[in-house]
Amino acid sequence: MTGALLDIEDLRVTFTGRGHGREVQAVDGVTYSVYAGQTLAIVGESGSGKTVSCRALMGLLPPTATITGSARFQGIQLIGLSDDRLREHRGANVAMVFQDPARSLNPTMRVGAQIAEAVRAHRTVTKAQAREQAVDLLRQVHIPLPERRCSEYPHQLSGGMRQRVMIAIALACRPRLLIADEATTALDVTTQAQIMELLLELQAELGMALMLISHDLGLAGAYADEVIVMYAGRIVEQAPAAELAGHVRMPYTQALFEAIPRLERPAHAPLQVIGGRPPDPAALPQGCAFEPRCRLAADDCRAAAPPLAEHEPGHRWACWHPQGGAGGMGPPGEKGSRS
Amino acid sequence: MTEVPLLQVKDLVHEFRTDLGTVHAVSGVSFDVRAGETLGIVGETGSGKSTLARAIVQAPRPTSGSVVFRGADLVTLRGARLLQARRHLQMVFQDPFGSLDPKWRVRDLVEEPLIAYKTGDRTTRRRRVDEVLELVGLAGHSTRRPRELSGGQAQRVAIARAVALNPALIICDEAVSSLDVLIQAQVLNLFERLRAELGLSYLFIAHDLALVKQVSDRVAVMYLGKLCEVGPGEEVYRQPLHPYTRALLDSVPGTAKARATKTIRGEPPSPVHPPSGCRFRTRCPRAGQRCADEEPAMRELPTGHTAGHSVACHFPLMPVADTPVRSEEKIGETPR
Repeated sequence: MTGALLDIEDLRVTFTGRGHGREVQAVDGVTYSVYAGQTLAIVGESGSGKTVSCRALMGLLPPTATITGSARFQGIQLIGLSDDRLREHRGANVAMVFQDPARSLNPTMRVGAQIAEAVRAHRTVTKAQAREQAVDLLRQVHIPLPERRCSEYPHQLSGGMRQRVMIAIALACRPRLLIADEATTALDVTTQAQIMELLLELQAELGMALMLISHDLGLAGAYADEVIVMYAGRIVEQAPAAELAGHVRMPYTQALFEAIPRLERPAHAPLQVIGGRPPDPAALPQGCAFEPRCRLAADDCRAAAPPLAEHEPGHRWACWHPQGGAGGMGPPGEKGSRS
Repeated sequence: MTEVPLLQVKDLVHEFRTDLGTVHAVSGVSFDVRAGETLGIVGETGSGKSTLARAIVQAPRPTSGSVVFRGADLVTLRGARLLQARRHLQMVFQDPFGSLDPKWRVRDLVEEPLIAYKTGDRTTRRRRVDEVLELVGLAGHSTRRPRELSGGQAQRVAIARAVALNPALIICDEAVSSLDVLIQAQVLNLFERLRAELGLSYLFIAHDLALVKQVSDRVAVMYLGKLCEVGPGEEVYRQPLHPYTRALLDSVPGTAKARATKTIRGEPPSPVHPPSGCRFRTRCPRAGQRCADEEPAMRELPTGHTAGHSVACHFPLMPVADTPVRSEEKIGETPR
């Protein structure tokens, strides 16, 4: 496909030197595209590689990381770019909002000054103009009395407010892509809904692409156009959110769906759980990484890892024995439909 | 019902003095937990739910009110008598690593409460430790130390510690909130299994509505130091009476309304200067003058087949008509 804002191909991230010189394959060959105006969610558990794969694009990984593969942002190859060039490029195009706004903000600096600093880092403006834009940005993220808030310190703001400030800072560079890494995880449910609404509103207004990195399949399904599910450093399933909700194919995605308590379920109904833990990223199995925990696993799953392929229009999965797709709660379907 | 509840919390108040003024963290909360039931308490950050949990176990002691657990008012007890009364009331917190001494082995961590209560000799205690570890699915991990455990395993150790003394009630304060979904489901199922096998009751405190629904028989909703609604879980979620409960439900991603309607605006007011009257009135779409003048009392309203659905609101969201709402229907599809 053409016209993508960001094209990632066979991205791999390996950490070396940690834990007695062993190699840890954090991201193991990931390929996907992000389009302008799209909301793409990347879902996975801790250690699935969802955050590392995005930080790799931003040049935010420690020097122990080796990054290979291709990541083209509007045609420009980001992998292998010098730090300076990457910073320049990143600042102009991509911004990131993290989980913990309290730790991302400077506690000793007034909020307005922090936003103005971000504005001046990306544009040549006078101090007064930067200050003015800071107020505008705060207004844009719906902070009441933005002039007054500008002269406050982060500790004077609530968690939701601080996250709005982080979003304002992210918007200072007028990014084409905004990456929200668990940006609402630490927030209360009503605040989370407010922040998600704000992100979608800003996205529509500014025509940005939005990437939601989350462990929460429910959140991803509710707000994203497209959902990618990662496990042990690989993409195991990708589909439009509506398609995924009704036709899960990869048993791991199904396990995630079933493990989430839902409002519509009756109380005390046991949650379907799978045993075991994700594999050690320093010793990934030869076959499918999910095989030891999978109820549909067979011999061929141990022999070779299933490739990620588009089996149905717009729906990719990596599984030798996908389930029937009878729905989020559906029974496992036909076996051995290798394609 | 004449049955004496396991836990009776009455008019519990907890206030802190700070530089900014008095924080009204818990302002007159009353509820019961019956034997064998799970009462869920839902609340956002700053609602006072964790302060409430700690006030119940007298750590620290509340400003006023009573906490009657198995016939004894914990607020009036001191020293050894408090310790004995509290023996069958245990707590599990959010951060398992924070509550486990990193230098200790799992078996010693689980034995500690038994030693604290001078239970049996070393042999019987060790036998009990093995039993409890087996029960929480940690047999074979007894010589490990906390850093060798995953988050889910560490939380199981915390649960084993709580269960070791044969408690009647366990207070879970965001006990699964920091776990990955698959691990969270395992621990939730463990809580449910222990409840059935040991006849436990829980006070299950969390901010996640679906999580609370999953484990609770009855649910209480807390806002800024007060309960605004209490009732059978199914009723509260199907037919919320308090506008705040409605707003919480509408904020859950994936519900039909989450994208269609605007979420409630603004932020909770400071617990140092809570609003007069109803504490939710500053953000409530239904608030009127009366809400500022007069604090709404908790009163029971009939909403379904089960009794005991109460709300503290002058203008509760009553059922639109007498037509019964089937539980399969999506929350939030009542006409605007």
